Amino acid sequence: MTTSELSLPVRTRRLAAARSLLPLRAIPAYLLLLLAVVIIVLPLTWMLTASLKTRQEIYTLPVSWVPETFRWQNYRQAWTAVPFERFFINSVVTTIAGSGLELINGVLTAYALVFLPFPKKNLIFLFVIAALMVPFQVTIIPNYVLVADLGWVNTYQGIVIPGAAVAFGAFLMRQQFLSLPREVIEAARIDGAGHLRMLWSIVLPMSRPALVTFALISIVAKWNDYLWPLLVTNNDQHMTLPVGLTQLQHSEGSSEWGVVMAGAVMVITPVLAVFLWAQRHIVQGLTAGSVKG
Amino acid sequence: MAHAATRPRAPREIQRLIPYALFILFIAPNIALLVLFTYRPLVESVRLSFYDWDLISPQKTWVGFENYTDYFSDPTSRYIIRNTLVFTAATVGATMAIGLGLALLLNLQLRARNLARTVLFAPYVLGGAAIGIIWLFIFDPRFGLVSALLDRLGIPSPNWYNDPNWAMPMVIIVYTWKNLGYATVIYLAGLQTIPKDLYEAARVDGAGAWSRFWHVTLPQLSPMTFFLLVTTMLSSMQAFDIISVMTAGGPLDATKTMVYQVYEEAFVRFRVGDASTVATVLFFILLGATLLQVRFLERRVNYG
Amino acid sequence: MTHLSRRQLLGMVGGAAALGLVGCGGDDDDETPSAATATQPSGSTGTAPAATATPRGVKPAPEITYWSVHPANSKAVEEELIRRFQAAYPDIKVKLETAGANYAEVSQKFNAGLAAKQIPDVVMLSDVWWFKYFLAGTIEPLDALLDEVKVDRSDYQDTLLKDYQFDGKQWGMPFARSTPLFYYNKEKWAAAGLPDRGPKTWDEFDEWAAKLQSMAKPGEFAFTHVKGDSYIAWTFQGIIWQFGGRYSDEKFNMLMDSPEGIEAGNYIRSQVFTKKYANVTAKDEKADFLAGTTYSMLSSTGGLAGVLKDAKFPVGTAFYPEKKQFGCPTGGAGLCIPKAISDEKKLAAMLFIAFITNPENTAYYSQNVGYMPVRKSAVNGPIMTEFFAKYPQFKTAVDQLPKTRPQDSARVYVPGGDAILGKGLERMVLNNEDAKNVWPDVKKELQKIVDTEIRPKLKI
Repeated sequence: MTTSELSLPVRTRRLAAARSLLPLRAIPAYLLLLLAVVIIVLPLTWMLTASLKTRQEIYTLPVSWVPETFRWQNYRQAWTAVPFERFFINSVVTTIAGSGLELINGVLTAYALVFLPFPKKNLIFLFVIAALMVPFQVTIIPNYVLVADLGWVNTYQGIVIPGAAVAFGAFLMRQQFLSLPREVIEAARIDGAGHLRMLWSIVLPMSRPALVTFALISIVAKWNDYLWPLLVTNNDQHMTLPVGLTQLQHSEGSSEWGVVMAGAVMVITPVLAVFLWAQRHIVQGLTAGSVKG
Repeated sequence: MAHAATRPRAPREIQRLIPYALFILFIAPNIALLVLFTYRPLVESVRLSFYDWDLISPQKTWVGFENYTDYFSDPTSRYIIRNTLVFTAATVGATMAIGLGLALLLNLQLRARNLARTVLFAPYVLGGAAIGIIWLFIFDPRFGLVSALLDRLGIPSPNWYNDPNWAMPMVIIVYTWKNLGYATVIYLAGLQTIPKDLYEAARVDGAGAWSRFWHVTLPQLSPMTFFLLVTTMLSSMQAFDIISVMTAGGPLDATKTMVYQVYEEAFVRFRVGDASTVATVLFFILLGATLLQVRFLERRVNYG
Repeated sequence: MTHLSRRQLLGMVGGAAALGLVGCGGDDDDETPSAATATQPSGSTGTAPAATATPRGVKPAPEITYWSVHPANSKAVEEELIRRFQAAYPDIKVKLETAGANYAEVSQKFNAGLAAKQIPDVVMLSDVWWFKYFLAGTIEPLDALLDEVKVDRSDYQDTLLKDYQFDGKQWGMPFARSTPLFYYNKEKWAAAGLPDRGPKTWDEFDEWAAKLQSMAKPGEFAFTHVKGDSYIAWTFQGIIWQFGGRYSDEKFNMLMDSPEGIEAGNYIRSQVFTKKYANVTAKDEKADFLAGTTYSMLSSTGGLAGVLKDAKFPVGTAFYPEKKQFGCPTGGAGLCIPKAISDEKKLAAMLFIAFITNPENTAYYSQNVGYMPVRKSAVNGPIMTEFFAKYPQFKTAVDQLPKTRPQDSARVYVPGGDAILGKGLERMVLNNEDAKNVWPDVKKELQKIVDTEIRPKLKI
């Protein structure tokens, strides 16, 4: 865009510049977009301000938009009313372990499907991605029974292992590997590179964007996972943040909204930060599936 | 072949088999996990639907098709299926329609459009449980943001928590809010791949803006539409977190969907047989819906 | 390690002494001061027989887990009780865990825990849940343990104790026990020119409420009902009794669809939809009441301390209004011990339960939360007497207690019965459905559970 603009006659270039500024025609578009942004941001702002309000202020009409006094105490109360620190550690551990296993599984599965020989590879691929068709909720009862029988309730492996199988990620990485230039792969093979070396020093480095995307999608999913950790943890020791947040809501009673909102802020901030830092990759990954059909 | 020759140490036969062994080694863990935690439970779930079991008794009681006859003769089940379809249709429809609109906006050469895109997408990465809790407060019929805004407009706030007619719109709004950005971003990616000359050609043919949208944009976006239809339908049918945190299926079952019913029968009422029955029915509905979409809609998709 | 450490022994003896003293039961007056020694780990009363040095040679486990829902936001108070226990029994560590938002959730969690063999040592099971676990054989009868730690059962309020008896055995000990009270906002009462008391009858209240409602701002109501998960089936149980009906009889015959039951159901429905002076609380009836948006409510004594603390207006409490007769249930939660834990854990659990329900601690709990003192000696003891004088609102519940009657089997013995009744009542007050059409559905659903899950096990 920019290069072609440079070659345009000066008059047209001015026009183009004006178009991206604020012609009257664009005002409705700006307004609509602003409205959409407000609808997204307002609830989060509301959470943020409420997290700093006293209970009394929350229960006063008309509602206030800016807290009278900033009650940071809510954050401390949320942090201590339930073992938030513990939940935090648990979430970090299960997210890292869960995403790590998913990543390894996804990459190895995709590598095998693309670069290694085996009869009926297409059928195996089908078998892997058909798992996407099985709704998670259909599996929870038998999985709970199994995990309970293994004595894995209230353990990290109980939270992590049942979610370590990967279908979408394997699909994503397979698409990526298929798109790698054949010549490079062939050249490496002629150089006598073994498969492990090829995976590690050629295929993975070339697939970095896809890998980052896969990792981020996986991290976000694990961090936010609610139903499964809810089922397989029943004490503070292994509970993760989303479950802990509802725990906070319970232990504070239904009317301490300020404290609960403070908890919510603490739960969503890390994932929001990861997202803002790497949003390009996440968006890319999610669109990859649709564009490549 | 060439690289086998460079390593004369191992016998040729074994050399040839190594990649096959490696294939198994690489793929086995994932396959094993998929079998154990996805496919086995699917089969097991169907099996459990023929039993009565409370999760703790040592023995299960075989009841044949009784759970199914009970399920299909109970008006509550029909109500819950209806809820599931209403929730899915509304959220999929709203997400895709508004998402398309926003994508068209973002595709204009507006300033700050990247910032707007980021903001719009952000709720999608937030957890359903946290979002549910935040919105529960926002919908508080007296002290919430929504009632404050409605007050300002002079409209009395509906009782979102209690009124069976308003609870469903409430969860639909929240779910759509969360997923809007996803549809937006997918559509935006689609819009950016549409060749400009298609529009030029249409313009030359005298097509107006509406006609260009209808005859160029929409057909060109059909792969995204199809993709979104399948994925958002699957995820809407399986929505749990927001419903669980906000309404727990209430009031009076007004927001109870099949997925919530599975959870409730199994882990609240401990009727594993009934829960598995719902899960099995749900699976076949999802399978059927997806196959129908693939069969009848994908044909009409223009992959360009 | 097999021998008791000195500290442990002393601690146990200290606690045991307190228990022993409490054990002297009937003669009330000198109880409370001496029970205070229970909070001191010192062996100052060490001459008392070491009641807890068990005859079976079982020694209490070093750690137990306690699942609670902190009813009426009582977490801090429970933590204090645990601190006191810790001081008296330094060698038994108690882990307090939040097991859900309400009684139904702790029960679910307990059930799921049983499947996974991950269970607590003390579990809070409410009036409507313990029976399910009695039926399943997963909770321990407490009689032998009570004897072992020498708890004087005669000092517990009889009605509260009886609620956890079946088959001649004791399956739980009363802890957070309550009755519903009629709470009213004295400011609004005065503004409407009403006398400073609760209405004697529902008919009287209809008149009063009309006055109150005429001065209400939009969105404000003279009275509020709760929803199913806040136990409308409990508060309504008093009302159906007052109308001369009941949910069921002792033989598990479902009777809510009697003319009286229908009349009672349609009465609360009319409060909302015809007389329009009542609403149904969105979430928490106490929060609405405190915000001044509803002027009166039927709510558990359990929230009383919180309500008094947070109210910016004077609060009155009163008995249930009457109709044809008086009727009022008891309710709340007791503490149970699972069957599938070790004897050591059971013993430690029993010591804990006995300790936190001893006269001094039940008085402390009662004053700071609002539940009724579960011990007779506590009710009549000086601490509570003084407290009642200062806060007469608390006395209402204790005065009402002798007039209560045991709850109907449909609610407390049928597993899930409370939720089924609650949903039926929600259909009336949320959806304006005629009780005539609702009760038969409720009856059918309950009857099915009775026939499949209770009759085969109890052979009735």
